[in-house]
Amino acid sequence: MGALTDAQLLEAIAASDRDALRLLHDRHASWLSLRLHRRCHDPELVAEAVQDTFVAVWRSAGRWEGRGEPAAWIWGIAIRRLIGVIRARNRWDRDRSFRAEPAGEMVVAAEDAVLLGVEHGDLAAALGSLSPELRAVVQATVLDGLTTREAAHLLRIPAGTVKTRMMRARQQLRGALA
Amino acid sequence: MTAVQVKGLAKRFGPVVALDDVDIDFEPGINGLLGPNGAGKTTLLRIVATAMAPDRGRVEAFGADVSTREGRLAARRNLGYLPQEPGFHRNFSAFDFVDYVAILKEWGNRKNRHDEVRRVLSLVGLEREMHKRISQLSGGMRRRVAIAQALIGNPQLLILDEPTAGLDPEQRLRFRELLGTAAAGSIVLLSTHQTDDVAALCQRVVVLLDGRITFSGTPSALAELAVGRVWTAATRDPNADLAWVTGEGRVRQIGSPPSGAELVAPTVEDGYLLLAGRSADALANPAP
Amino acid sequence: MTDTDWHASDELIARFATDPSNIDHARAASLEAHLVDCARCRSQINEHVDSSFLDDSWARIADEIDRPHESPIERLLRTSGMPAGWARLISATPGLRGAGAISVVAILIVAVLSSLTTDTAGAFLIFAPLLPMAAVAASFHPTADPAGEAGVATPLHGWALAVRRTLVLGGGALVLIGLAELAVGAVGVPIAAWVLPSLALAAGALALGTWLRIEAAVGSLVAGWVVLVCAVRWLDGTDVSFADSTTFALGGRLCTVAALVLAVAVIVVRRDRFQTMEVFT
Repeated sequence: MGALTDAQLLEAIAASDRDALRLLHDRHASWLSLRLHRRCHDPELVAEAVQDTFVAVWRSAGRWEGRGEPAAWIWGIAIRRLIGVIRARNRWDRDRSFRAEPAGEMVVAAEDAVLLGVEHGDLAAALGSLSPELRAVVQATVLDGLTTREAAHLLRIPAGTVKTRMMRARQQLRGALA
Repeated sequence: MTAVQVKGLAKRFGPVVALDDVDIDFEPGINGLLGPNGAGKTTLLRIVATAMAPDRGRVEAFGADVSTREGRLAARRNLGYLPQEPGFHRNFSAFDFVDYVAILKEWGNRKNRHDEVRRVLSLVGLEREMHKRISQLSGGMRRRVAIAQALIGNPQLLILDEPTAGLDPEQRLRFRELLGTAAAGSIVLLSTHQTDDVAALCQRVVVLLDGRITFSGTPSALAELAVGRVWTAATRDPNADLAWVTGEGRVRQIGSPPSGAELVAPTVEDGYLLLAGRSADALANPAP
Repeated sequence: MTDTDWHASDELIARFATDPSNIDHARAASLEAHLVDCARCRSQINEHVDSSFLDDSWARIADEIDRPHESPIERLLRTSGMPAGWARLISATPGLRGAGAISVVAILIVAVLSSLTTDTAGAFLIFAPLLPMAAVAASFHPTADPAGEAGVATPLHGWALAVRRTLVLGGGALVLIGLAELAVGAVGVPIAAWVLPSLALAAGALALGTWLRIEAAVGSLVAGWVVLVCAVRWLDGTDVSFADSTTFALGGRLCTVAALVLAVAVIVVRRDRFQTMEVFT
């Protein structure tokens, strides 16, 4: 079963195959947790969100439309679950607020702000919205610090194309982050 | 380890006599119950499993008479029963069904119960399919679900009515292994028509014909009944009680061999067929 | 869509896996976007993660998905104080659904019939008591229990379960009838007039079920009841309405109570039949 693609696993999960869910979980739970952790530092909330995510996948695998990357679909579920879990915690904290220390409330609120910032177009989302060619260029030059020529070699495109794509990427990123 | 004792059991359904004065003790280990359809195997197992009451006679298990309230409760707390036709509700998933039976078996704590359900379902190899509806499972898988519920709580007495019906040879092999490990130390009553299951699995075999016990002993003793009465030839002998063509193209026959016949070592199946044939013959031609 | 030529460096992945908050946003965001597309880098992350993390995470998820779906009736019973196991045993009865469906259909028939006659109360009084009986008989029939024959050989099968099922099922049927009575507008019919016959018929069905098959038990009671009610009214004189006939007046009620007591006595004496699979078969 290890040879099955994520899409095939989702199909099996829709047919109530428990092992398929386990395998999908083992493939994705770690990176999801890490990515969520960068938005919310409370490990309990992250764990709860991840757990809710896979339960949701189990129940709604049939609703995935089969387009795009399954990982993207799963991430979409995960980030929404995290928001839900944080908001639920906020609500609970607010109910006790007249007894809670203001500092405690502020920490949660700050995470909430970061999170909401992510959802409304910071760098990550902006990068994600770039086309694969633009993104490849950004990743190669920004991440690995390659020169234009080196990036051109790596991506097997002319150096001029690297420059043009970088320009377009910058424009798009500026627009998204404005 | 207490044994199961059956004393003078009798049961009829209208004019049909299902069991006629059955007396037998079952010891720890795997006890096979062999007999044709209608011989009374299912009725006997149902009565021992407390799913049915006899007309006469009694069953003692775990030191008590199972017809009393305490005896029945004690028996039910220590047994697992696989009926010939489980009759489960088709809309349940395998997990939900086994979980439901576990509640009936007094597993009130949800976490412990679910752990046990997962355990028995993996014993029968159904971890992947445990959340599929029973109506979506193949016949062999449904039987495995039914076997799983019988294994809940590792019962001391395991009553299995035709457990290998509908299973393919590979699954039957897995079942034999499963029984070897899961049922160690228990008393197993297993009914079957498959003599090779008996030969492979059972320490003891009981042959039931027309509601009566006609043999009780080891499988090899059953085979020995046919010593000197099984031979092969190129063609069918008119004196043979039973004959059939084997895979090699020879004819295997049971009965009174003609002189010079090529005798072969009898199998459990031969012994059983000899008994069953004799009994059918006795019915057809009663002694004057 | 996958950028097969570009992958994150081992060092970046290792840092992301062990200390994700200490990577600058741009690189981390870039990696995160890449991970959505790249299975190879995702599995590389797993190499830096402790296996017990995945096992623990999965155990919690498995626990949640393995929980059987709870029906509304089950939730109602459980929140009313019934132990969770019993709530499940009683509400998981497929016969409940069947009996419920029968009750609803029958109530509609009664309502229609009632509107066709001038003696609305009478029509109601004849047919309404048959519904709890049908519901109880359906739930006691061996095929009503989802565990089938295997369930008979269990410690909780038997009297305790049967009584609880009857109370819930019979009680539910009585409530439905009460509502139907309001709907049909058969006001003025005292409760005792139809509740007593309901109880007596239901108990009678169970009592007969220790001897007869379900068709025979239920059929004979339905026929017997209708014949009895009509015969008594005929004896009273044709100008008397059903509601005023002797069956439902004091004398009739006393007889009904006597029948109920007799049926219950039979059930108690033959209660062992409820322990095996031999009820209604």
